[in-house]
Amino acid sequence: MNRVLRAVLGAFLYFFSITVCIASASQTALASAGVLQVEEKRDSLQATKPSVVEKQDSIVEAKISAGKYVEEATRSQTGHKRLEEVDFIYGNVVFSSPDLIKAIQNLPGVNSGTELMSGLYVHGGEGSDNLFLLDGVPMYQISHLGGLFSSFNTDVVEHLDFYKSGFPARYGGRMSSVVDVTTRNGDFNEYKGTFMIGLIDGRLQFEGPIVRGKTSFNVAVRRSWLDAVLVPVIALANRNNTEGETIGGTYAFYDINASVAHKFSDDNILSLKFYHGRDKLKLKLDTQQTSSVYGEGETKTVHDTTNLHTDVAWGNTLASLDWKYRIRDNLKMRTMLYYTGSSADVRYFWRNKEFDGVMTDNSVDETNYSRINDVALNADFSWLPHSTHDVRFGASYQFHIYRPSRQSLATSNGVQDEQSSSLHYLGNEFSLYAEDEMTFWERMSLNLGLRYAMYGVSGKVWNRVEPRAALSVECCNGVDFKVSYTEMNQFAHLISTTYLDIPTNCWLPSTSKIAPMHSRQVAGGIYCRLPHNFRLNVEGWYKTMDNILEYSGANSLFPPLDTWESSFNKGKGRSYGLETEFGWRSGKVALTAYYTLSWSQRKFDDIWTDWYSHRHDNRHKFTIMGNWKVSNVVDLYASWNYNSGGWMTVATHIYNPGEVFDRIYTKPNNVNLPDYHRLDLGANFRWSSKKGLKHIWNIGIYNAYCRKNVVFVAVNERDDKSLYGTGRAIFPIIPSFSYTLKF
Amino acid sequence: MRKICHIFTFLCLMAFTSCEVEFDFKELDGAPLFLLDGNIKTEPDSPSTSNFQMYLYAVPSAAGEREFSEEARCTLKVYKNSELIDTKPDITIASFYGLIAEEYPVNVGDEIRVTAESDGFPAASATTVILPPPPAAEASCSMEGGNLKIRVSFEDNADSDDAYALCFRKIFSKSAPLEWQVGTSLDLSFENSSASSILDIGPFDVSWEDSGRYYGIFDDGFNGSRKEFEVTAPFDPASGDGDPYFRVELQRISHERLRYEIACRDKGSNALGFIGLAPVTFAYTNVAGGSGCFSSVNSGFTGWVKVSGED
Repeated sequence: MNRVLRAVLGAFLYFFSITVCIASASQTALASAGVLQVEEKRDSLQATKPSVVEKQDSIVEAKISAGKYVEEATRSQTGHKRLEEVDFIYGNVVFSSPDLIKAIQNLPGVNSGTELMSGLYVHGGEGSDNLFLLDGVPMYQISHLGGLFSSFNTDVVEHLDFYKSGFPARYGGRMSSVVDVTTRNGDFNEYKGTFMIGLIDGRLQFEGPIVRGKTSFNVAVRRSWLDAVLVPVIALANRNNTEGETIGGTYAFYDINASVAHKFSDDNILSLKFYHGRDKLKLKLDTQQTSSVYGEGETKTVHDTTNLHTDVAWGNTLASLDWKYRIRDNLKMRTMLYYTGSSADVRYFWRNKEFDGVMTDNSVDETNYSRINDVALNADFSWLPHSTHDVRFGASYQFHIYRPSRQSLATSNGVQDEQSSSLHYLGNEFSLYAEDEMTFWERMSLNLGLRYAMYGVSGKVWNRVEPRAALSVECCNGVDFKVSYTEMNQFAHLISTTYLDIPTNCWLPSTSKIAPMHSRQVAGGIYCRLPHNFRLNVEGWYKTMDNILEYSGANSLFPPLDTWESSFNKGKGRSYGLETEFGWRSGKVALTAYYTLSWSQRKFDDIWTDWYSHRHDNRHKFTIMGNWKVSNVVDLYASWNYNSGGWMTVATHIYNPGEVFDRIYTKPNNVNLPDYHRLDLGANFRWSSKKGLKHIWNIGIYNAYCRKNVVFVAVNERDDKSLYGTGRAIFPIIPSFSYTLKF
Repeated sequence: MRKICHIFTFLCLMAFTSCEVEFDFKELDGAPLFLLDGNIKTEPDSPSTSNFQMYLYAVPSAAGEREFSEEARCTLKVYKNSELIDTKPDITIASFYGLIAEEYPVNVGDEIRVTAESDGFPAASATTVILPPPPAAEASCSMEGGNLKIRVSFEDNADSDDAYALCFRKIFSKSAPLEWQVGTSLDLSFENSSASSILDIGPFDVSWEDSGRYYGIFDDGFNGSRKEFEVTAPFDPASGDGDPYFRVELQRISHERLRYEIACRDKGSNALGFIGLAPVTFAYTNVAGGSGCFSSVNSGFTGWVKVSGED
């Protein structure tokens, strides 16, 4: 009986090669040398039934649509999840835009933090330990508006692969997870597009052929109009203000995805892709006051003017030239030349002028520039020497330019004090990798890989070897057991003096004094596809992290550039836990529940002698999501998220003989914050016109029962001297509405 | 329509409800602890005797009793090379915030350990090592536009990682001051200097007040070489009775002291850390079971130099 579906087709991205072992469906598709055969033996599980959409073997046209969950279960990697359009298009609609990052945050093993500090904290890692790839190009800033919107426009996203353990050897450079987002090329045959308008943002996407069947384009633009919404609000606020204060503020973001693809043949495709995203924030507070002051026997009139302005602009630019070519029937190549750059400019300006007969003029003007630019060349090969071996190998060279700088000008009555500091690092990163996905006895697959990375900066060269191994064994029908071991290194560090996701944070490389961060992870689990379309996955992991950094010093929005290497404590971390996924779907209803039990700890010898909880050491995390397709016109969705509260540091001893010693902190992260939970609800109403236009109205409610989830906490003292916390929530219930037109 | 209005009103009310949540900290420990802040100082006029000075504070727990009983007592013990050399029993905890001062015979390299014990407190102990004298310093000064321009240099030892503290001292006297005369310290000004900094510490790592203004620096930037400082201090040579004189006190200090002073300064500027939006700045301590810092100091002085007029 044939039990292995082995489909190796010229994949569209990453020379997509799939090894699908299906025990119960018992179907075989063999593809080689332009031949695709499908043999159907039994159809016992509808959800796991593979189907061939098109019987062509080319890297463009051939697609295999096997049961999604079968595909996941039969990959040898642990901790891998593929999200497709259906997974992120319905739920997680905040201010009406579907969001990839929010979809990942729901997954088990991922802590999302709280609003303002929203991010991906995967298996105990930090938000900066994740590798985000947009069509293979690393992206440094992955969100707009403090994490409320992700930088990925879902109109052009085809799917994303998310790895939190069992990393294939082709991925490297970050310690905790890989988010590999793949966008669609434009349609080669017909023009189509999408238009969306929501409460504070809008999107327009258009694609089609340039030369029919040969060349296509795909362009998507997104912009927020919070700046326009804020104008009347601010005008109203200023009109009622009679104390000489004028406030001002504006915020907007936009991003553009554009691609052009040309098919020389079905096995030879060249594509040019571009992304540019930018956020701009301006805040100002101007005060003008006139007062009378009595002194030295006379009354003086004092005119006082104060201006406080903050201008912030940040964003990414990515560009890539991507060539996919089939060299031989069993050997394919993908070569890519790319540029990725990230920048953030923060300007803070304060000026005070006072006139009481004598003019006093003081000002401070500080600007922080942070830049990182990478140029890279990658070559990736996929080779099938035998039907039981799927080999991938390749090399990558990246040239990094790190360039943060800071300028400060303080003026006091004409006397100027000017300071500037800047860092300039040139980094060379070279990596080689090879991995082989081997299949044994039809029930077992083993992925062995090795990655070598060399990183040179300022005369210091770091050499690292990263072994990767993953084993998958089919225990019985529909039940797979997997285990994996991986090591990862990270040569880039996000330097921040706060926990906030703000543009003053800057990326800096490992140096002779700052060693690369390094993680080791063992993961394993059981993956069951049960009758009646149920599935149950249980996975555990244990992960250690070395050379991680934690800031220790005075608060400042600007990291200390001159002394950054000595301003951070070096320590280690560990994380372990168990995560489960339970799902069921029928023709109209899909339910998914995730539960995670986890521990995440840190140890910094200069701070505390023992292990202590990481601030996102959320012991329990539970998510339940449901979609119900009521009819062809209406579908409803709901999701409920719960996680145990995070941790913060509160003074353990308080006294006040002087100003400095009033608080003593002994153990870090010593108090538990309130639990986080929220309910999101939504509905889509669809209607198709006779002309083929599709209209979709979406309404959604974020945090439907207005849970006050704590973002930051003030520590207060009662009359009886006991301490208590006053937590502040900033996102109450948020209704949203959007209209989408697909044409 | 009315229903829609009601729903909208309800949503608005929910959205504008106060977003504050109060909760208790259940995990805080109720045990108090000792804070030791002291040093053992050797001076050039009596190199075989050191002045031991220590502030000992009993600090209540944030979650426990804030007041201590009048009967509560603490015992402070001092060891030299593991040998008990002094015991100070019956230190009142409830009302004592004074200075414990003593003199002990010591030699360079001696290990001095102090312990503080009391019922209900974790035993606190800290150790320091008597440091060798600092290198000889050379200093000169001149008046320049209402400021005293000071030049001081000294040579660092290449074989050790050192930490230093400098104190710039002045005195007014009708005759040449004697070596034992201490004078008062000068506050430096970095406003118009290229080495200026927002923290007003110029080329130094930290400054602190300890019966005078001290400026501390690690030898990271000049390890094994001669370091020259050129700094200015506001100074009016006519403000005292007699002629103005100037000299520099150069201390070799324990690394622990400098780390502690830097951490205390940073801790005072940790507003975001207090509300959980930034890492809390932990005060460095070398006191096991308690908090604070116990360190060693060995002082040296330049000779008194008469402050001359404008260059």
